[in-house]
Amino acid sequence: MVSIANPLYFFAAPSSSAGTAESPTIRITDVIEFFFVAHPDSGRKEGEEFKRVMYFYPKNEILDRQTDITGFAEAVVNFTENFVTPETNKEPTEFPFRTVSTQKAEHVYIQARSRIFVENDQFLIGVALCKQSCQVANYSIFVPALKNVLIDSYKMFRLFFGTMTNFRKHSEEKFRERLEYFFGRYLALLKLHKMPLLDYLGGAEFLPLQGEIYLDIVTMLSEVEEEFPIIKKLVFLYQDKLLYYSISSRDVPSLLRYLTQNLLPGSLASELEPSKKTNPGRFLRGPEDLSLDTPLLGDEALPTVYLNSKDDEDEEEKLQRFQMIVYRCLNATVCMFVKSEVTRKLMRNIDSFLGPELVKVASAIGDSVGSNDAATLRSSCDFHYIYFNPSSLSMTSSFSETQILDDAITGAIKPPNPPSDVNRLVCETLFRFIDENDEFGECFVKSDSEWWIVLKKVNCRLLCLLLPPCVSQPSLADIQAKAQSIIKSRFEAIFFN
Amino acid sequence: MLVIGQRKAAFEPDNPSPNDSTHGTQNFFDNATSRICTLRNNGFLDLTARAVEGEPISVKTRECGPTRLVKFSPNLELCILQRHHNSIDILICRTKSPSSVCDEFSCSSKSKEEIITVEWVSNSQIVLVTKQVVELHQVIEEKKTTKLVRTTNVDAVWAIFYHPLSILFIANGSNTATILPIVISHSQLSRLKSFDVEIGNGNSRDKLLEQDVTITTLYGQLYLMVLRYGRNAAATDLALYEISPDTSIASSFKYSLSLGLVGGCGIQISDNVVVVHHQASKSSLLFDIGLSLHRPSHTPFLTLSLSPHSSCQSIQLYSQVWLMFQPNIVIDPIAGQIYDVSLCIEHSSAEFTDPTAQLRFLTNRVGSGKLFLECLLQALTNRKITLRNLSRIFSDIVGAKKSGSEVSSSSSSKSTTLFVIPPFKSLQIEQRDMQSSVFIPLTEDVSLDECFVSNVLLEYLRSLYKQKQPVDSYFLELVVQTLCDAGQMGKLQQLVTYRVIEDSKQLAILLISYAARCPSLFQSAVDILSRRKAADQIIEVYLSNGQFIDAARYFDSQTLSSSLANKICERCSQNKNRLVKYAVLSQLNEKRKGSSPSKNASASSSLDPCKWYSTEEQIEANEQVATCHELP
Repeated sequence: MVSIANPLYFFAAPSSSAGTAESPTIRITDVIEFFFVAHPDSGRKEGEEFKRVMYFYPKNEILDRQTDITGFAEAVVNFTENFVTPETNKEPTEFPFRTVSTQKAEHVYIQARSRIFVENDQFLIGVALCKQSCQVANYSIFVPALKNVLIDSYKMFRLFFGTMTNFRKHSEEKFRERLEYFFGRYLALLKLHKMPLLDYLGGAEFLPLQGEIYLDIVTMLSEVEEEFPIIKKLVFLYQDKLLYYSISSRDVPSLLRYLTQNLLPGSLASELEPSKKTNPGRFLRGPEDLSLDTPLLGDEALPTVYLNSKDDEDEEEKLQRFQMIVYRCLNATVCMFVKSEVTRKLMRNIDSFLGPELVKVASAIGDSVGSNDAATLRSSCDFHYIYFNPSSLSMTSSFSETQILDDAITGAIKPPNPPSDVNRLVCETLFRFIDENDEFGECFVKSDSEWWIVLKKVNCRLLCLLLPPCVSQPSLADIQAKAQSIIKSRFEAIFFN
Repeated sequence: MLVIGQRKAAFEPDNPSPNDSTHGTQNFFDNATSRICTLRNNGFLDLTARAVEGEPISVKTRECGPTRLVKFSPNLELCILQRHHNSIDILICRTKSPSSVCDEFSCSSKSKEEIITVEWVSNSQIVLVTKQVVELHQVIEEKKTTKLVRTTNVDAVWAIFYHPLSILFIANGSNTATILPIVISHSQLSRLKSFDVEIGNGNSRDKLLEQDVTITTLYGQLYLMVLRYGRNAAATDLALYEISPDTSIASSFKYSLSLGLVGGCGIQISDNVVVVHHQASKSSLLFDIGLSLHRPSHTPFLTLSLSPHSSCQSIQLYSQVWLMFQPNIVIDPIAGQIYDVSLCIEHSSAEFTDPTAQLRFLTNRVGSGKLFLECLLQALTNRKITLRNLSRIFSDIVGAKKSGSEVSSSSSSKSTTLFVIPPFKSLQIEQRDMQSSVFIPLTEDVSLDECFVSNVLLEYLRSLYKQKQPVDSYFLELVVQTLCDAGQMGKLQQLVTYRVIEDSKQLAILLISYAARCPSLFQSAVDILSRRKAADQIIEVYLSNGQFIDAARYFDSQTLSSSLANKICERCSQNKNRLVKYAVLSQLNEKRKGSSPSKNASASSSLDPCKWYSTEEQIEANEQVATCHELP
């Protein structure tokens, strides 16, 4: 695991000299009270209530308590159902949820059901964080963020296994097995951002790039799509940043997280090994030997994912099964999604068609990234920021792992991380004072600890600035001027007036 | 596509008198002027020179033994006749009357050696090659004499003169495969480095023969082409040696055009295409090294048969008696016909099955612009071309792709180059022409997939960027429009965000017009306006969207003219919410007071609070105030 090529190596190393000793994230396992997946319909019979528990964390919890917790959650959902105004005209939310706040913990439950209401077969997924542990870990709970973390974990499961309803109907035994397998690993690795806004917004980081090279990427991908009509959707990444996608934006965060946190880091070590091939491109996952023509089975099979997709322009998106082909070359990753069976021949053809072109494009990106951002992005700044554009899901933040990693490498000076009460204040301010449906909004807040928070929403895009306390005790006008100058220097290309 | 006989001329076939060598008809071909020269002997010697077009030249000269060759000067005023092995006669063809015998004078080689080659270098200079010497003579017509200008010693078995560049190629060596190029310019004989021609291991001939060598320029480079043979006398390939104009660099092997032909071959060049006519199979192989200048071996891109021109349908094609000359002359000595062969690109569509190959072929041909555009449009309309191939073609026609000696000579400034060939320029097509002849018809074709059209436009945009060409704004508008028609709003937004499509106010306005279909384009458009510092437009855009609060807020942050404030006020006063209206208007008023203390009359009228509200609103407000007071 410890390899030079793994960026997490720098990040995790305790010897990292820069002042980022404090991690921006915490492990969810440090603060979690419980996590469950329940299928209420399975526990309807008296005496068999425990059967509704499909998965429970922690694993060693006694069965009675598992049954009690899931029962309580079900009861809460059913009871509060009486007060929910029926959504007649409005499109039903994808994940109805309930939150419960107790003295000890914050609970969130979501209802997951297949989008087509043929039968009312639903799952209840819940999580609870222990308030005391959170305090110890210096983490402030923001319930909407926790809800999104919960939804994301369900989406991640769905990405690989499809809807729970279908899977359980297929084989309950296998379903339980898979839940165990998946969530056992997922929860162990899941991290929460100390700035809950990042979990709440859930965007993807895009790589800034010159237009000319970007057009190279777009045209190259169009050529691939034309040459291989079997490829239905594409995603293009450079390092762990997004550049292009044609999958539904609803799938972007989960897929990107899988790629950047799981698939790509795991395959970096082998990239350093000298390759016999003339073409440096290669497939991640799938068969080792492409020269044969035997079908892809077992270990050689490609990963399957479930993506929201529509066959027709006017149709509503529904979950469909795709095979994922991941091709990588010099830090550039192309993910291709195919509905029908993938053969080695197809992969050979993709390799010879895409490989030579991708080498050129990837090295052009590498040159461009190496030259342009050293000056602009790496310069030290004395504030924290979060930028999010919901329409493209583009998000950049001084709190993100990649940014912190970059800073650690370049030794950029960073302001102190805000205390947890400021983090919470940011979330609350956004939640309460800036309406989600409004395209514009502006809010200036000063915390007890003398931090200033500037929230600006312009044309749906959100900018959040966190200014640490300073000796001069600035006035509101000073802060406005300061925000204005930050926007001018850092976000010049974007209209934030 | 390869048409024979578009231009032609008839001449009197050879007719040697059986008994008397002095009576009969003899023909010579003068390569330099592409003329067939007929000598008729009837007491006098009658010389008639015909080209495939134009008037023939006729002169009379005195009879003086058998003639070996006839060569006209470039201006056709003088003519060399060689009647003796070591001397030549120069005829002055400008005669006063056609019936009189023209004047002549002779010139002999200094060495008195047998002349193996004689050629006109210019209208007043000739070069003689003997086995040992190359002599350059000045022809002094007035004095009817010649003067030796320059000599150089050589060892020559045979020699070929390339007229366009005045370069003499002298063959010597054990198998006559060592070639010495001598450049003749400014009355100087300058040697280039000699080089050896590889005639092949299995060659059934042990010597390099003059008849197997052709000199030509292709794509701005000079080549010596050698027909090479295999064991069974089959022509295996045509080897191209690039002649270096640099005295310090030896010429070297560059390309091999693979043939594999048994029997007679004739080589001709037309519009940078090498044509190898093969008698036995009655077909012609076409090679174009321009399709891939970096590849050393080439195969024919087309194999076809000559087609006779409508005026000479009865011609017997690929006749055994045919004589072929450079660059494009075919002579049938029995029928007494001289024909030209020409490459008619207008008929190329019938020969090519793959439009990509045809388009790449056309980019290197002369005057192919209109045809190229037609073929491109047709290929795109029929979806016969892939995007990857299209991008190659676009990169050929966008920007200056030059090849030739100029490119290579620039790298070595110190060395001396002895000849310069004008660089080859491939087909270039203006954006305007692409737009009107290809892109607009494509976008108007409803049967086409819009996504395909937009991808085509993006490929073109990409090649413009690659060649650093400024992009016409109307082309960008077409790109935006096509992406929208294709429903690729997300792609469009990303392209705008990454500034693939250059910022302009027009683009912003265009994006706003599409914002109804893709709301996020609105933010991109306002970003552009903001980057272009078009504050006025930003306010206009907000107002037209009914977002007057945002307009007012933006106004507040900028220093702008007060006429905009009036506009905001106007829009705002139509609002129903009295509170909002008051807040915005008084804020604007505040700002106005601060900035310009001297109010003008027009501004004050719109800022009068009484005018903000209608009478009904005032009454309603009064009622509310009254009810407030009633509260305990």
